[in-house]
Amino acid sequence: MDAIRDRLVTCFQTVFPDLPEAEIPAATQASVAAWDSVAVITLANVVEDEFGIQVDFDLLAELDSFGRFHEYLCREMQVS
Amino acid sequence: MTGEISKLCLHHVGIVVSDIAAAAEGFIRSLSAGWDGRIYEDPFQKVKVTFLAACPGDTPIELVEPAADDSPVTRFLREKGGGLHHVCYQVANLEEQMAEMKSRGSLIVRRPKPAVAFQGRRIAWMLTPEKLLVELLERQRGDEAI
Repeated sequence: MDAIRDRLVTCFQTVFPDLPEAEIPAATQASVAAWDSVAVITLANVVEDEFGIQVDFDLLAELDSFGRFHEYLCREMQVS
Repeated sequence: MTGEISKLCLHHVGIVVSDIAAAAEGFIRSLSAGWDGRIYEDPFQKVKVTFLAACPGDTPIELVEPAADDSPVTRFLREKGGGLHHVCYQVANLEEQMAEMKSRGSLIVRRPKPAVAFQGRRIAWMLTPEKLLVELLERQRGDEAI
């Protein structure tokens, strides 16, 4: 696991405390019942605080899985 | 506790609807509300909005209709069927207010963007820990600020 992935797992654990760690890398908005509209916002804010970036909130609808969030962060962290 | 929160001035309450014209007619009937018929389409916010008031000078009701499939209110309309959505407060400094609210546990929902219905003044969105969706409207346009 890379460092970004590890830190993102921590973010997911914060927002979805009932989600087993082993299931986090495969988590999607469709597969996690607690991933509602409030969780979307909470996750974005937790990620911002963890990574010190400003998430593009217009893209939140597309960041609907752990994998997509990870790809997004890899791009953002490369730029910054 | 007072402090910064006392500087917030209620500007309007927002109600999400599927059809502004039909909803406005309903509020005119149910609340005897006044409506000037003006509908603003906002490409930045991806919504159409209009304002009604139960009496002249009263805090307006804002009706909000999604203007695109990916509008921020589309999901609310689909899942909740519309209804009371947010309260809007006017503030002197958007960024300072957002930082203040974040320090008190609110979440950023959307960062500042200009709003057509407010002549280009910027709005931002926050969610309080009590799950109240708050729209913040800057008192004057960012490029007019001293």
